[in-house]
Amino acid sequence: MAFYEKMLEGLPAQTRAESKWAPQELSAETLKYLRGAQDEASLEALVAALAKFSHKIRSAISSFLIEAPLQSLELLENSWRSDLATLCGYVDPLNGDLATWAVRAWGACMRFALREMASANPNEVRQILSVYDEKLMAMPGSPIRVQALLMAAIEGVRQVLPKELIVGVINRAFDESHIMLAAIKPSGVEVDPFEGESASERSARLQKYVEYLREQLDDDDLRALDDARLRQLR
Amino acid sequence: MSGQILLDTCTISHYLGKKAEERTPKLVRRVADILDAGPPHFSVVTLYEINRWLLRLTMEGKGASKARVFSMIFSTATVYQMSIAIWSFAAHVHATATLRNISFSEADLFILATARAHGLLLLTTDQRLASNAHNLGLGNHVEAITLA
Repeated sequence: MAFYEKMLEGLPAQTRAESKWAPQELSAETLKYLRGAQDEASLEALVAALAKFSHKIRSAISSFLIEAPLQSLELLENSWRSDLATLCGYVDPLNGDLATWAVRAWGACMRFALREMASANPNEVRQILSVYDEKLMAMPGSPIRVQALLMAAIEGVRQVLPKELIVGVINRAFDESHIMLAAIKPSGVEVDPFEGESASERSARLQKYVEYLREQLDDDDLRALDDARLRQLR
Repeated sequence: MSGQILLDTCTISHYLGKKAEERTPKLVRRVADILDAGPPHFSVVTLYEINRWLLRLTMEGKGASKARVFSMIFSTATVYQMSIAIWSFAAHVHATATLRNISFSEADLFILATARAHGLLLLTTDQRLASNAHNLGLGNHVEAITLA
């Protein structure tokens, strides 16, 4: 959301005026999702609202991304850092780390796309950005679903909704972001949510994950792992 | 050999135990050093074993959160797929072992073959696997670690 809000500030006055409705309408759709069943149909409705907004300002977004992909990248990274701090401050450390992972996975995909745009033919980029494929957007693991869920989680924090509700949305965003990375891998694109991380940062992060597992796993669980070992194929 | 370590499934299981630091301090220190040195390395067989375990826990209603944490760990790791070289070497070890009345589980065979194919050292808590590997002349591909 912060990315869109900041990008809107940089748009021509007329487009800005045309898009004035958007933050309120998106916020309303997000709240409808958070207060509703949070099932597949309501997620699709939220994604459709976000897609409608993106589509409405697509030419402005295209120009912005094509003319200044690297500035867009900086804007994107700054906005997700601030959103992430909001989320992590609201939930327990494990769910904060799941939110971090989901935000970084989404950010890494966007970074990849913006870097590609920086070196691509602007007309081709404009053509790609003009495609509005509703079915593609509704598919599990599509970046816009991850984005919609993350926006919903952040909006839920702003509205001080119950933590367990926010945690459910974060978990869904994490699952979707995991599908997103797995889906693009076969095409040879590997994006690293923690690109640029030092060895000691990675080690500390892994140790934290290990501690989460130690808190959750009991002896019965580990016995079940032993039962799940592959012994003979036939 | 590359000097890099392949973590066996049983090593991970013991490392993740609730009181691992009290029960198996040597193992915990060794794995912590490995994680400090670089991303962890796993065979796809380990990934398969852990996935089917997590799916079972999830179906029992107690695995979703654990599965998410494992996803974050595996996304940081190098996972080695099975290749023709690994299948071929595993077949060779199986035939040789059978003639000498040495029995391996399929998982041990594939994971050991993965370590050998990629020039990795397999870190295992399974003393039987280590002993079998040693008896077949493959001891230099295995580092056995005692739990005490």
